[in-house]
Amino acid sequence: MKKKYIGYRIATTIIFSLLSACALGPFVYLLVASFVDDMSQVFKNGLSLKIRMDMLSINNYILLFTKDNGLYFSWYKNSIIITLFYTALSLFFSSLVGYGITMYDFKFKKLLIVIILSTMMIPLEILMLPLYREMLSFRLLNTYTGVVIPFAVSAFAIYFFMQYAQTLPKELMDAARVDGCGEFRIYFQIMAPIMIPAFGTMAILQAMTAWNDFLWPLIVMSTNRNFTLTVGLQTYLSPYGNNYNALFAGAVLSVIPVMILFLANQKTFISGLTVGGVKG
Amino acid sequence: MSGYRKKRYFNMVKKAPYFFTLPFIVSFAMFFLYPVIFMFVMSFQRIEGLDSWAFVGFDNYRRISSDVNIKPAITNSILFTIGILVVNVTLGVLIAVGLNNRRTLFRNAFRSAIYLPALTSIVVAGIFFRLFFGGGENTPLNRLMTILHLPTREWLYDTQLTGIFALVITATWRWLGTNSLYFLCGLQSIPDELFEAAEIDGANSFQRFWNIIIPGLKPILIFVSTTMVYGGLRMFGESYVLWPRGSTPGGIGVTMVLHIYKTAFTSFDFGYASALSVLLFIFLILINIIFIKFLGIGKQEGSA
Repeated sequence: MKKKYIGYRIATTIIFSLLSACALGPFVYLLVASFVDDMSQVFKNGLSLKIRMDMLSINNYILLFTKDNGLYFSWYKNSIIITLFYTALSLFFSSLVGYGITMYDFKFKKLLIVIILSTMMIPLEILMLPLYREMLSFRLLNTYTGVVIPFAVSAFAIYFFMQYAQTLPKELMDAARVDGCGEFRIYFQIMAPIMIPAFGTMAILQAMTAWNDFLWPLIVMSTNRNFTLTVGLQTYLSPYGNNYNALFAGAVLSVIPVMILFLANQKTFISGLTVGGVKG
Repeated sequence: MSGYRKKRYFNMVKKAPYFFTLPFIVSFAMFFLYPVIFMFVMSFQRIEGLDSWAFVGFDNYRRISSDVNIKPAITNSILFTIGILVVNVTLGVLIAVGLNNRRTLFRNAFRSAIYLPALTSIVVAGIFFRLFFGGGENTPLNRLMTILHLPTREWLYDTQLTGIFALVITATWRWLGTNSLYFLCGLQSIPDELFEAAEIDGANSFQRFWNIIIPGLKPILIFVSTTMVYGGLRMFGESYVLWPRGSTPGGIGVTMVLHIYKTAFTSFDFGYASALSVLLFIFLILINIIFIKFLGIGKQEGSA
């Protein structure tokens, strides 16, 4: 009986090792290549990437930091500000809405739920042109606010908080009402603290979304200095040859914050991801 | 705090829910409803520069039939969608089944490794895969082809199909981990008794796969298929980074959204780009209806 599993174990270990290699290969490639000064070596050796110790240096990183008066730092700073701004706003508003829908009975409740679910189905890409015009008339193009505001009240986050609020103890609300507590005080002082785990999960997911977002900041931001990391890095990719020295180093540094966030909160990440899908 | 103090308007039980949900109502009106209407309005205008508008009726829609980029954009988007749907569902289910089996070694390590690409942005993925699919003799994929004694190619500039192949691989690298996790989660919700009963009845692993795992995964299968279809039809970033700044040659790699983007922001033809958006919007709504009708999506959520 035991012997039967040995074949299975060897086979699955080999298959999963290969899959993991495919998943991790690009990371290793980018990391190693980011320390190679002479890019022709990277391209010449291709897949085998024969790296000798004497080829390694941190010149690419120095180049990245000094290039165009530290432009890369501006992108990094912009990405951090936009990520924090977006995450804070979307948690604040989406939790209010999600909680409000689940905890109260009111006239348009059913309709509101239907609208929220259907906006989740229509991608932003469809509305990029009118939204661009709208940001233009609000004079919000090329600003942080313009990047963040249209999506700050996220239907996905609302849906998540709606699900979570179902687990909240309604008796506490009645008790607080008897004590003369207003509805908003009930939320901020009693219920919101109970929802802290939900805030944690959503903060991680929303931060990752904002950090990696590409199309909308590409549309809104028009000057070099205001680009986010994704938009900025992409300018080093060009149809006429690429600046790979800066690209590799820049890509590696841009992934690090998300990696740290993931490694520190693996469980939260995975449980949060599956909320949207599995419950439906 | 006295119980008799009169509550402010927004703090009354009857009124409070409207204030709680106000942020969504405002945001929906400003950043969804209004843009949708505005998109329809723009699609009937010729827009030059930012301020010169002229009503042109259905002109923009008539122009679509003579647009050479439309056909490749639609075929690319649809073939790409079918590609990622098939690859992500089959591989995703198989990976999940493997990761769910107690006899598999190092399950947590493999799970994390396979998920890791989901953390990256499309730009980071694009930097690698642009090299990976490069035309030189020594780029990763061509080296692999040489080892396997297969012809090397300029993958990104060869044919429309190699372009789609590159797009599917690039997207799958980032999406497969998340999809596998969805399936894994679905598997874990299948009650153990079913498997025990199957074992007692002497069902082999294929019978278990078809008769327990697949039916048990039905909700997740529907969910992942839906996200893949929407993700596929809205795809933009993969094309934009593999062919930098949307410089897609002869229709290779161009997608519907990329075509709309280029029409608006490279040719500054907002009216025509809006007409294309309207068509894509209607197409997505139709797909939405099909999904709801035939797969019963939204029914469970609606009752929540």
